[in-house]
Amino acid sequence: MLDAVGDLDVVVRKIRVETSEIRSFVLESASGGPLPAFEAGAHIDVYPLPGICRQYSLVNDPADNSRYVLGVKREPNSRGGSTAMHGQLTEGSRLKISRPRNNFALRVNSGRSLLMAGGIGVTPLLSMAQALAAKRADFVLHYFARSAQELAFRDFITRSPWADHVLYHFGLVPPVLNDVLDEILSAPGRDDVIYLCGPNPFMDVVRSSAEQANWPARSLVLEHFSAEPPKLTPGDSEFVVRLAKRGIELLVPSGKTIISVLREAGIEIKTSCEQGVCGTCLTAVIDGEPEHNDVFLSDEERESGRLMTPCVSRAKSKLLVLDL
Amino acid sequence: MAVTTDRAALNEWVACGWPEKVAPGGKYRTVLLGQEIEVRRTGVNLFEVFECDEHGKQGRQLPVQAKYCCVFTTLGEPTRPLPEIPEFDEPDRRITGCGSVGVHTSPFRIIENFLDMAHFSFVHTDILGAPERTEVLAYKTEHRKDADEIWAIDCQFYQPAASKASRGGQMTHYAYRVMSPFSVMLYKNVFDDPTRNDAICLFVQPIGETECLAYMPLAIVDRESALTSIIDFQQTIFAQDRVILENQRPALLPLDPTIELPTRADASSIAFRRWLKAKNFQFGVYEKKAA
Amino acid sequence: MALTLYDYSLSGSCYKVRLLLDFLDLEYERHPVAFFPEREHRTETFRTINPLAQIPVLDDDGIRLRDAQAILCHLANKYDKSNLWLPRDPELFGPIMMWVMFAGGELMAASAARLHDLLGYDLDIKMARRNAHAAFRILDDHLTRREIEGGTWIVGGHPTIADVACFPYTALSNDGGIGLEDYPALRNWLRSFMRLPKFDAMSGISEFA
Repeated sequence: MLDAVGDLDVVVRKIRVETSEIRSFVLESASGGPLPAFEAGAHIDVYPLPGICRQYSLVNDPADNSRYVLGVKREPNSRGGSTAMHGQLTEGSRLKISRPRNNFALRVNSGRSLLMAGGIGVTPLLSMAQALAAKRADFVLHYFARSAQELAFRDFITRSPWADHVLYHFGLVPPVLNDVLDEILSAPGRDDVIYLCGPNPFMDVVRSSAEQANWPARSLVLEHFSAEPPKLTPGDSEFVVRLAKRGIELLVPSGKTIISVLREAGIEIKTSCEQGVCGTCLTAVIDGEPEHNDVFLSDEERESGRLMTPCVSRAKSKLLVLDL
Repeated sequence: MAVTTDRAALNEWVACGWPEKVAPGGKYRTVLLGQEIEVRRTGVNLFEVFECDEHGKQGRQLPVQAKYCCVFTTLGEPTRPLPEIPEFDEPDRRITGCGSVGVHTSPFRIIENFLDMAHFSFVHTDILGAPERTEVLAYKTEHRKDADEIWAIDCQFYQPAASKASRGGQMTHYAYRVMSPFSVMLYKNVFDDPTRNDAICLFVQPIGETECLAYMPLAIVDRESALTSIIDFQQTIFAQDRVILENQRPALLPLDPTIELPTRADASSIAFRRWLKAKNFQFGVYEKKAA
Repeated sequence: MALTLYDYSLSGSCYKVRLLLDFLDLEYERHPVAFFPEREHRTETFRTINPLAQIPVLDDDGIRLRDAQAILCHLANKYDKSNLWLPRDPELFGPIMMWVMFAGGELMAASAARLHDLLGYDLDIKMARRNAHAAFRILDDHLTRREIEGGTWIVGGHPTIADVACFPYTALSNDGGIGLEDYPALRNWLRSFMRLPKFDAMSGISEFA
């Protein structure tokens, strides 16, 4: 009997080398029997080593809860998560995981579903593809990878009954990538939905292409890989700003704005009104949840959580990663 | 004056007169975006519009529509129809134009002034604003993508005499709607009746980049006032704005937010400028000259 | 006594009359004329009130007067018990009337420029502005001499109907695209006028003149 809440004990039943960088892991309940049911797009927290926690999407068909299948890419700059998964785990290893959670769920829609996968971002979309195929929904999975050798879950896809719903795109970089995306995303239909998962630069290109083709912002559903937890520990009324390009972190206390903290650290960004009106300091948000206090952004921009005005806006999350 | 090459400007419907400007059978010449045109009134509500070539001879015929107490034409291929303003079809409203008023400034300055509440207490003192109640309360702006319009909603301002029908001060509730770069309107609640709104439009005929005609059709709820007084009220207000508008420098509208420092009361102006920038408007827009 | 003014808010000539009615504390009834865009003053009905088809018209207990200058004279003559607005002093009366006529004559070029720019009247705008500048030059020269003498007003030590008659189209010159940069004495005089008790600015008069 499994707890209704709390972590799960699982056994690594099978490890498969998908590509030079990606391995898949099949997990089964340590006590035998089914695992908690999950929806397409769900992820679990995995604790491969004490003190290390990583989120991985479930790849398998949501109709099958006898096991959980994960795809894990070894990140060269990893602080231990994927290295532990690749290096420490063997078939038969025991592992603690959380129950599945879903913040990337399928929508109920009457139009097409376009699944846009960048590299390892394919994992939640594979589970979605199986759920959509079971519903006989109108969908296409566009799978972007560096090369055919870098394609994870290739056999799994080609043997599936929905293999003809998958289109592969290899080695594309801008501007060709943009052209291909423009073509795929041209002519949004009524109630079409885009599901998007992949590295941030890939997601940005897809988003801007969708925007140009006048896809409504609400028709774009996305998941991006969460950032590493901050090295600094924010207090109750503080949050951490990480400047992705500079690779530094700063604490923002309740009484100070982000730009004043940046200034004290000697980092000047262009500002003008400093009241959240003019948009001069507009900054891209890579991760974390901004708390918008401006009057510049549109509702859609606000909801996307991808842009903010650091002169007045703050963070709801403890960590905010900015493209600075 | 040269005809603009800005497609974004050419592809809009713009006002070029009002139906009663000339008697049936009459005609007049005017200028649109630098292009001279001739408007002919061929029947009570029938119009023809032609371009005039550089020798003043008749050129190609342009599309024309008479609606909302105005005559509209276009020099390009409009990407949107004239806006729907259903208030002009409501039988119990007073529907009137106010002729046109010439203003020497960019069409967008005129639109922005119409959107601005902060000037009420200073420019329309004791009418649309009181000197002791100058605060612009927070409001919301939005870009409505379906119609490609900019809206400012939940606006409110204390007004000593909000309209000709007013018999005292009130907190007036406003909604602003920018239907195109050259047309804007507002809805403001009727004195003593929060359930109904007066609809007041402002259509701008851009003659050149800093020379315009402004048309102000009204569809308002007021059984009492004489039409003459209603028009008189509107013209009085606009003539007060006109002085301010003609003294604003630069006359062209800067889209770079660092040139004119906005405050939070200017949220609608910022939304309007972002929108113009996204449309890549060149006509009527201030370009900072390199030092 | 019953005064009715056939009035249009944006008319500088009507404004002359409204100003003096206010200065003299006279109650009056306003009969709005749909001057623009309806051109009510050109209708047959209105021509029975003023065959010249012009505003303002003042009806004073059955005495019906046209021409703003004539109306100013009538109001001052009949109602100004102080005799300050139109003194009968032979040193002052003639000069005052001369400037009142100037307001209804040469200075009306500034009104023409304003009708062109504001309401789209089809007229020779260059000539109108040139003539308006010539008139402003004359008034500015006169006011400069008055400043040297220590005077503020066009004639005498108190504002008169000469000031009232000349004020509107000078103050509204901007409406017709005419700047007053070259007329410093004119601008001083405008500022003094706007500080008079009971002064009320009409639409188009900028406070920063």
